[in-house]
Amino acid sequence: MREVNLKNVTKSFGGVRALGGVDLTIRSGRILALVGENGAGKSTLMKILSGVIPAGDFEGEISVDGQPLRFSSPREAEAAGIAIIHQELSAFPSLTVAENLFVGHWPRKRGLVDHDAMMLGARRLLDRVGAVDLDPSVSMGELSTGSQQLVEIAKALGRESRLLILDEPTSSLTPGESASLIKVLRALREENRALVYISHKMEEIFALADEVAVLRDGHSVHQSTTTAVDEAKLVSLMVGRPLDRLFPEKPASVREKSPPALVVRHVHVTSEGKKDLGPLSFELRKGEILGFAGLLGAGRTELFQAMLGGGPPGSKTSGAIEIAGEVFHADDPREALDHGIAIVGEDRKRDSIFPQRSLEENSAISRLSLGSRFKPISASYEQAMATTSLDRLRTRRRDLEQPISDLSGGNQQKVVLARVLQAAPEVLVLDEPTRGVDVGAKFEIYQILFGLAAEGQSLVVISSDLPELMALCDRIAVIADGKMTAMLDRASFSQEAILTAALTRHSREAHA
Amino acid sequence: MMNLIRRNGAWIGFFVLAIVLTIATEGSFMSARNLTNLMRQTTLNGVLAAGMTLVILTGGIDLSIGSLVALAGIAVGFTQITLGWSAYGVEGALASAACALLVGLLAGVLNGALIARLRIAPFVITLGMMVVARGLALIVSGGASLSPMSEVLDPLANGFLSPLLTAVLLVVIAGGFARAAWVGGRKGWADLLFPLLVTAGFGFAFLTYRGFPILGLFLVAVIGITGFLMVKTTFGRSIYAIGSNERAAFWAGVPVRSTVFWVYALMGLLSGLAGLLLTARLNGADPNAGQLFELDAIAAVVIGGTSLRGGQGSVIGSLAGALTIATLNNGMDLMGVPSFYQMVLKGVIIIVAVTLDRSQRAA
Repeated sequence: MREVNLKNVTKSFGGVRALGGVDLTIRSGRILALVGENGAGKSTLMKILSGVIPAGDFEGEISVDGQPLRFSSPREAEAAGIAIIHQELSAFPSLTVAENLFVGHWPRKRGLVDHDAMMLGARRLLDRVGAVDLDPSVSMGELSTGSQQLVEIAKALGRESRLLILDEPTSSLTPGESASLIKVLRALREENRALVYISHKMEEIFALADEVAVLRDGHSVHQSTTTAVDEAKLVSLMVGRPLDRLFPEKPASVREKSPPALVVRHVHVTSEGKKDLGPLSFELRKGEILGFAGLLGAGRTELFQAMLGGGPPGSKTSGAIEIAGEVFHADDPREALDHGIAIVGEDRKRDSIFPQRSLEENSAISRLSLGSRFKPISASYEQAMATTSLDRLRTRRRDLEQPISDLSGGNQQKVVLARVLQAAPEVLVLDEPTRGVDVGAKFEIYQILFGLAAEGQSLVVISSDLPELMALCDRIAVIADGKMTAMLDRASFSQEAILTAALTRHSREAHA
Repeated sequence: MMNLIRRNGAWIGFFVLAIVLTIATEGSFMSARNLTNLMRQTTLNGVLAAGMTLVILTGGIDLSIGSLVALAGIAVGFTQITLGWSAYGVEGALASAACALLVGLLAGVLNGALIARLRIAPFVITLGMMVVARGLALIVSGGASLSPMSEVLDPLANGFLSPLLTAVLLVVIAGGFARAAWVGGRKGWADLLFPLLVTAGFGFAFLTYRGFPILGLFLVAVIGITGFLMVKTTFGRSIYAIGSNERAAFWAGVPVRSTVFWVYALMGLLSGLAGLLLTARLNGADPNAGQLFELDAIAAVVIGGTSLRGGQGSVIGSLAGALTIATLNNGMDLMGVPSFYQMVLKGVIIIVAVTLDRSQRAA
């Protein structure tokens, strides 16, 4: 395989045209970055390449080295050496890592699965993606999203795939892990494999890709070497209009003068068989945006979940949390909400949305949960509340009755934001607020957060996207191994400083 | 128009079935007397299906309700006959009824507490409760039926409201529908068109026959209350949220545990009510009564368009489901279909109905 060519690929669903003539060339030994806003047609294109949409159900041609290629099932595409690592992971959470790696391709001995060979093979594959600490005998569901992603990549390697398509592989990885993944991808390029890299992260694209192709509204609008374009050019190609910046201007901070909204003292999370987290102490001022950076597994999410009464099962949380002068201990997120702190989880589909329920129901649930359980709800009041809160966040929608699953990722995220804002918490914790959200919607969400902070809303933002944290936050706390290793002021923000702090304890332990 | 059909699949199915049966029975299905009977036959399953709707909407299941019906019935029989409360007339009957409701509520509270606290699958807990409650019913009754009941209980099963009260009640029900529709806007009117038509049909039958059957009164009240809870209260919103995505509900501040607890408690209470009504109708308490009632209730809920995965469905849909099942039984009886054949046909129709409904939804 030297070259995969797509010519004039067109696909409609019902009356809706998802792809309107896409040309694309994928070359061996090259990394091709495929970019485009959500809904530009990337996932449809991937479905065609991977045989999910069988030949005959779309128009246009796919050829490998001039030979036409027709898949009637994903299995055939896999056999031809094409692997996709999906953004929505397709893992089997109750199987072990090793079983996930070899599912459908079990190593056999006398007709039975050869367990030892499987474990050995798993070890080898995991080492190749740099997951040297990952135990292949633990079940997949116990791993973080980031580790699961690495396993999925290892799985594709195990299948000897010649063409790997990675759909936002680093969206849930921390900088350290992203770096090691990028190393893995470069090694794959050296092996003369073809790689298609779908991403929203500009930095990565420019650091990694040899070529870049842009999809917009189902059309391929650009393909060139990466060096032929710059960031601004690429973004304007994606959105179809010039967009001068990725981040809005941060308004002048008010935090120096304002009183503390949240005081956390010596919060400590202990649980059986897991590393202790904390002690963590910090203050958040009214109207401040405080970022939390750290490697995946550093315990940022777990610390905040525990503070809000939803720590890992069997864990104990000690320490003091004080909001507006009142010290409290929350047994569940509902109690935390009562005391004025709410959280939006990192995985929208898993943690936040009620897919079949309406926008109105999705946006009202937290506020309603604060009130009386059997008091009749006023339909007109609910409609007014939903309209006001969704309009304020400029949520694009048809009507309030449509299910939230109809909306794009960015708009779903706005509905979830509307939900917590309706509950009017003193402190709002946002875990990966722009994951899986396209460039345009990201910009809007940043503007929303700045607007909220200006109105005096105190925000905690947990993010693995360092440029995002640096653009958004007044201060950034860095967590490593459950402990705070740095608290940086805006003046001292730099990727180096953050990464150094994020790696602090790891290196110390390595020396010991 | 397509949306209207899609959302009201169960009601349309019920109408088609009713028309087919009317033709097949040369009109006797639609007679005032038969429609009155049909309402009475729908009541027990309808009451149970209303509670089961809430249970299934949380993503759970309750298998114990058939046994709870028997146990609650035995509570009436034991107090009335073995303890001799029948000698105290109305007061005695009221005390027995209270016992039946209490027994059901207690069992439901136990179900709810175990499911919500221990996080054990509802299927397992209620399967255990199903066996335990049946055993208790047999122990308390000594394995034999307890009969006859005090005459005071008879009107519960066989009484009718006077024509004037019937008319007043029908106006109240229609008013309730209209209010709900008014609030729901244009979609609201469309969704309540069929229930309104059914009310009109039954209402006409009741007025020309003997009045509103008191048994049916319980059905109307239970459907009204559970429907109100689901549509108009935070409790209902919480139930939908939990069934749709329990983890998201937890983080959004929904009181997951206590909501689940109350749903099973309410299901127990309604089982107690069903046990009381069944005992009144049979004029005796049988420890083996209520077998497979849980499956009829689940069938009504599923025919009514509620997803077994939770998060989507309605009480009013389950009423259509309960009416459909009762209509099937009633119509096949009228046509003289032997009962063994009835079972086969009923099973087939349940599968067909749900398949049609799902394919409509997917379209």
